[in-house]
Amino acid sequence: MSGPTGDSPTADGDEIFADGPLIRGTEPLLALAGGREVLTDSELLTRVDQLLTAAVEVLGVDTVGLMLLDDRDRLHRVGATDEIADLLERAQAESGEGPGVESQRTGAAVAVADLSTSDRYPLLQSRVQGSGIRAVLSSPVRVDQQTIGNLNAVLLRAHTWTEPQLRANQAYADVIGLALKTVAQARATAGRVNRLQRQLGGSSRSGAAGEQDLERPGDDVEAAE
Amino acid sequence: MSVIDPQALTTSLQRLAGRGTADELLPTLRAVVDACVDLFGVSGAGIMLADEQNMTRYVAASDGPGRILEIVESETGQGPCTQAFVTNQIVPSSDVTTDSRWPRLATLIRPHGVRAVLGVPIALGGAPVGTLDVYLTEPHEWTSGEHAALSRYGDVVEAALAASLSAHRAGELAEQLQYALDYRVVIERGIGYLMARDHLDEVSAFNQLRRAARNSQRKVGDVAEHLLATGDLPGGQGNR
Repeated sequence: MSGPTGDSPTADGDEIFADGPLIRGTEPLLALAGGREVLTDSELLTRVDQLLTAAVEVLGVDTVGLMLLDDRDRLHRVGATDEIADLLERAQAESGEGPGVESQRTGAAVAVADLSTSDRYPLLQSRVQGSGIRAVLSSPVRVDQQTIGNLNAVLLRAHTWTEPQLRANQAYADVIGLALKTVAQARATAGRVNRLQRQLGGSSRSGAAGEQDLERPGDDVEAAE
Repeated sequence: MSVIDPQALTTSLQRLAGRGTADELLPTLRAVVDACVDLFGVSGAGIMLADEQNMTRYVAASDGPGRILEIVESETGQGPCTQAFVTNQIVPSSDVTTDSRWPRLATLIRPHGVRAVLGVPIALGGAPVGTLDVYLTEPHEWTSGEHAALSRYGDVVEAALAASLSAHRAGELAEQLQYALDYRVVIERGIGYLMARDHLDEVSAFNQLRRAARNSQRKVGDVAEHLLATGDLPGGQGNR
């Protein structure tokens, strides 16, 4: 072998997606995914659960919560890895105050070294008193340059968040944002698929044409020859 | 187990849903790879995926050396990432340039600044589909804590990948169904024409259309249009 094929290495990844292997590489994946076209609601919950649970270990924190904007642009709690983070998110939503709320407003991360001694969020503090929540890092979750929520990492001890931790938390929030956007698209498209299937169902022949086209080659046509 | 509010999640997703139908498969792969670097402070990260021959191939990387590592591994068929896929276990190497397990890799990778490497298997639906790979530009003894955290991040990659594959698959289906809907009338007329011309029943006529479509590598609707315009299926007479 003479050496790695393809273009000279660059720091940017743009030429990555022109490579042949990517196209071939995704085919087996698509076959695996093809078994079910629609992400069921319970699978959706599992995925989000996975993303939040993994955050605790990957980010090295005690617990994690997620707040997102609802369809009326209000921030509400969506998930948490335990009751402590759940309490934090509910308290932020109810008091309208907190690092997550602030991060939503500014679009920037908000780091709190010790919520119990801070005077920034008195209403929130009174609601979470005694919960054990001390350090909180809220990272904005962004989709298409819009802040759609925040990921709240919690430590049960006071801690000054470091630059690497801010970067790591933001990176994780970015992954969550992309995953959520993708899941949203999958659901919306699944709705469209259902509508189209119903429309096609009205004509049996073309309905069959539509669905049979979706099968892999090597089916009854070859057998009929 | 997390506490998740399903309704809150759904309304948030609805808010996101109207944002266009761009395929997120490639951006997702790239994003999880880039995030990996910031999350773990590694020099670079990448993803390899298995092709139809079940050989892992380079798919995405955060930088040039990471890409080269994966390309060299897939071309030599050896290395920690390859082994991670084959054995379905995390495989560390504290320094691939001196690792006696993979001499060809060691020689080829030496000029590129890749030293410590860790391969993490990625699975979907229980089946291994590839690996998440990280590297450092210095030798490093990977700790069990790093194994655990990177393995966890492998779960994140799986979740993100599964989501983007669902979206991709749904998008493909929607397109195919939309096509069938748009061409419904034409296809039915084509079937009717073949039934009359060749004295076929409906199923046989439809199969003939599909066969002609496959042979001419065109869509069924195009073939039906051609048939109705010319009286023949593309590629010649009858096609019985």
